[in-house]
Formats: sequence, C-alpha cells, structure tokens
Amino acid sequence: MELVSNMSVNFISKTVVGTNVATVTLSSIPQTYKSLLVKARLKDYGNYGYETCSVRFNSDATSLNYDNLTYNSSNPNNGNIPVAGLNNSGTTKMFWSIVDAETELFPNAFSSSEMLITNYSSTIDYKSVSFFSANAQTNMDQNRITMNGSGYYKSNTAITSMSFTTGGSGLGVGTTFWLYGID
Amino acid sequence: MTTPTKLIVNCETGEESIIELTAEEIAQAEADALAFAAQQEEAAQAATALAALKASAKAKLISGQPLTAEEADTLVI
Repeated sequence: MELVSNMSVNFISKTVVGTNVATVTLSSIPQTYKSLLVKARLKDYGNYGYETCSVRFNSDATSLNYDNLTYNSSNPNNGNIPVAGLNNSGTTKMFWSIVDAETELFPNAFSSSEMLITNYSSTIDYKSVSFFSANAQTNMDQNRITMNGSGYYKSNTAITSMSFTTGGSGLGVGTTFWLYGID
Repeated sequence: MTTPTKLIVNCETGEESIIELTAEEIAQAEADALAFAAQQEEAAQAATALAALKASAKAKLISGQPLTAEEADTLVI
C-alpha cells in the first residue's frame, strides 16, 4: 500500500486469537524494513475489568532493557485529572496498552491499540517505541481508560520476535494483531 | 488445572501453533504478576502520599502556618 512516494506500509501478518491463550508470539519477523507498526484489538478473557497488555521483545526478560513512560487517564470526563508520567523503567517488559476483560462490562468490544517501533532491525541502535490505546466503551459513564506513551528497548539485538500478554488471564478470542513493515 | 498456552505465529511462513507454556515461562509469568502488583502498590502509595502533602500544604496556606520544604515542593511548578 503506497501512502506517499517515499514511504510504504507493507502488510506482514494478521493474527486472530481463536482460543484463549496466555501469550501471542509473532516470530521470524522480517528484517527488511525500517520500522514495525503493530495495530491491535485486544481483550483479556478474565474477569478483571481492565488490565494492561505488555510486550516482550526476543523473549528478553532483562529488566534493565526496558525503559518507558506512560500517560494514563481514567474517566477524564468525570473530572479526574490524567495520571501523567508513570515510569515503567526497570520492568521486565514494556507496558504499552490498556485491555478490557471479556466478562465485565464490554463482552463484545475490544480495546484499540497501536505501536510503532523504529530501528527494530538494527544491531547498533536501541529501539524507540511509541504507543497509544483506549479501552472499550458502551457509554462514557463507564470506566474510560486511555494509555499512551513512549520508551526504549535498550538492546543492540535486532527484534525478531514479539510476545504479547496481559496482566490478567490472557488474550481472549477475537483479539487480533496486524503487523506491518514500514519503509 | 489446565496448563496455559501460547499462540506462536511464524511471520515468514504464516504457520500458527498453540503450545503449552513451559515451567520456566509459567514461573516468569508469576514473577511478572508479582512485580507488576508491587509496582502498582508503590505507585498508589506515592500518589496517596502526594495527595496528603498537597492537602496539608493547602490547609497551612489557608490558616497562615509555615509549610515544610516537602509541602512547598508540591506547590512549585
């Protein structure tokens, strides 16, 4: 899909969760693009209301390799001030999205999430990551959560796989990941 | 108890497979959950402490009492 003359977005894979799983791993990621773009519709199959979705690159659980800052808001329409600057440095994975639970208020709705990773194939540079997400709603009187931010995967190793999981039970049926390579 | 599974997608071939998590992966997931809960608790405690400091600073300002340096810090932008 050619967007402008000097940039193109190339479809790599679409993954639909057909049965509840703890983790989804995208492996053997092509190393031929400048950046990776992940788009996702997410659902946790547990009973937790809402949770975070995290990503771990190359199965790397080294805490010092993840450094990111999220800006979360909860019910801003009810007068709550967005919670800014949650420092997730030192965690063993990158928290990048809010995700809803299946059995709570939104049985048929999914969170909306997107993440851009630059320098992903570099063996010299750290990987810069930006992301934004919003949970599911049926009306704005219910819990309204957004989670946005940016950070780094502080590794010189090229990213060849990404593993997604939630802070709850796991990724529910219908969860979908689209992966694109950007030139 | 059912062993948790993971969906693995090979982006080159499109092949998908569902396999059970290893004992190491389950242990890692449990450690992740504990670490995340601890981090959330720490963040909640910090937020509560900051709110208390702000409330104390506000009350002292209204009543004309001197603020501690910690309370003053909550007012400086």
